[in-house]
Amino acid sequence: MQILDCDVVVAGGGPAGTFAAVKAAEAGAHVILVDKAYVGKSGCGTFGAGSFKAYIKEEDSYDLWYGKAVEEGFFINDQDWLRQHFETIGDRVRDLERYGVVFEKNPDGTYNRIEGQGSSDVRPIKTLMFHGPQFMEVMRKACEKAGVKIVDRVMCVSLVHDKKNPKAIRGVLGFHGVSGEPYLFRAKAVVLTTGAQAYKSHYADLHMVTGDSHVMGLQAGAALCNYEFNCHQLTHAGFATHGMNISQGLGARFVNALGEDFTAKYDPEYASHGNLWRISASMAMEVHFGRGPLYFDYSSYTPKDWELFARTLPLMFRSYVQAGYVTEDGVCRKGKLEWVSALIGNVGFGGGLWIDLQGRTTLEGLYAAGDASYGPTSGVEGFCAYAMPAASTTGTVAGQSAAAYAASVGDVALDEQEINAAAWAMTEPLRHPAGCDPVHVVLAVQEALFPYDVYILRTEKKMQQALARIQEIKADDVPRLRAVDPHGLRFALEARNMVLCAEAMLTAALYRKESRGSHLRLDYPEIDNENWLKWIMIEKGADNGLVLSTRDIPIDRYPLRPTCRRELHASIAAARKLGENI
Amino acid sequence: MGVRHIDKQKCLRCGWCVTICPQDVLRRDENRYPVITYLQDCQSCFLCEKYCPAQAITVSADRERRPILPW
Repeated sequence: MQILDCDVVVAGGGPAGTFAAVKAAEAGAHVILVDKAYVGKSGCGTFGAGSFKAYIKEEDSYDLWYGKAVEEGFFINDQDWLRQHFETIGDRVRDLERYGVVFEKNPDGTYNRIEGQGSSDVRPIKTLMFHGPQFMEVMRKACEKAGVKIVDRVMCVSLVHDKKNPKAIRGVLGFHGVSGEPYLFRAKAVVLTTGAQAYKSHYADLHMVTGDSHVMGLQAGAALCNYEFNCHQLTHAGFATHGMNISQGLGARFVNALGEDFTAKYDPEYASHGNLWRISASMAMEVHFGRGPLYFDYSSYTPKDWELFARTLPLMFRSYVQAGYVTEDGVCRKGKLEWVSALIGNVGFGGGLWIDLQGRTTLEGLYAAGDASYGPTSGVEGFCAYAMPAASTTGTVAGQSAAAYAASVGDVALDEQEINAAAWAMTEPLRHPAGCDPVHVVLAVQEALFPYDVYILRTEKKMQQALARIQEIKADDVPRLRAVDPHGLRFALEARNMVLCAEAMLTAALYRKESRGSHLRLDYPEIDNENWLKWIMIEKGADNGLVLSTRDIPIDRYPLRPTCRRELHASIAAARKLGENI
Repeated sequence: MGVRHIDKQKCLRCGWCVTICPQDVLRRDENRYPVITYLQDCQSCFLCEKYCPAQAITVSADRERRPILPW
């Protein structure tokens, strides 16, 4: 076993983790940053589509941005965190420029900004633009310059407690994905930043975020929060696509089986420029009412549109040419493509580890940031392209707090028995090479979670059925997961994490007996501000089960409060207005 | 779907594709050429193709197996 000592270990090398590592190192801590892939090319940040929705004090209206964030958050935001985010995001943008991230600028030196999804003429929310892959390359260099030791290709699997204080975390155990060698990081503080749980969904470039931090935290005794809330994406049914902002901007339309453009019916203000979950809900309604399948229609594109599309979305264009939908010189061969919603778990916003204003989880010595945290600034939803700014501010706070805390901790003493037991449990799949294939478990979880009436138009009955199936997989298949080598061990543990996160998600969604944003329940169609201005907390219970509780949101002392006690969810209200029986 | 082909005539054996693959799909053989080892885990992210200094790698987004869809 490789044993490495440090003050602060950061697990996960995306935007949140690299920020946490740099800030902890700048605060004087000896920092190790660990990633199961290669820092600089790992995590969702590598595939960021160039949009960074940062509030710029000199240019933007604070009230507009704050109001919009709370509106999208459906009053589930931690508004103290939201204020802290807006107060510090300008410093983070300056940090990024100092590290070397290039943002698009105008000739006069101001930021060149565009309006993206969720922006309207009345309420424009403008985003900064950066060159996608460069961002994370720069962050790796910033880590190296700050003296952070980077350990690539090590998957973190479990947390290790203080020998004398079982409520405090003092390290992480993992293994090398190629050699299989176990790694123990002994540390005074741990920051979890491995991102979200994306359920290896039918969407581009997120198969590597598998809730590793959520499961590590939960199993060690930390609380998850907001796990009932999820992000939905929209994609081609044939293969995973991205670039909806640009595709919609160039005039592609959503149409149903009858050829009708349906988005404006459900969402008159934003129509096809609405936030993703609103369109996802509209799509599910159309299917529910018998007007599926649905299409995204590029037929109106001229060769000039395709030329711009090819320039801004080269990989997408390449896929379309490969599939024969368009020729290299921009002649459209097949414009109407079958289009679907995709559940992408808590990528960008949605559930994760609960943290306070200092980035502390409910366990001493354990910190979280970015998608690994519950997204305190987002609430139910975030702005589109808001995940990386939120990762920057939460990562910074978590790194600085962890460094300050580590400075107050004396020698680290660990329990050898706990480490041996965790190392034995971690390698369990290697001991039954004839067991259950992780690919089977991934498909089984997806079959349970992905039907639209489980994650978009939710009901007690359908979610109970899905939960029963997930618990069956947990009992029957997870203990038999197989691995024949270290690579396989990673994918077996990822499959296990998918099962555990799916159980937490459905359990929380059943518990919240109201509708709110993307949590849309046909059996509880109202937003219930009287009873549900609450955070749902999930902790580990006896016998590997889950214990749920709620925390009241201190709405009375927040600047923004809802104006009505109860109201019908907007998507359901729109459908009823159209005469639909729902 | 996934990474389809690595052209040995063009490959410089620099190993960068193996280092950066987020899904650990590629490994090196005894002659240090990259080989497609765990194709089932490829997510068609195109990083290997995009960052290959010799344009030796081909990736496809097309899928042989229909993904699990919401309807």
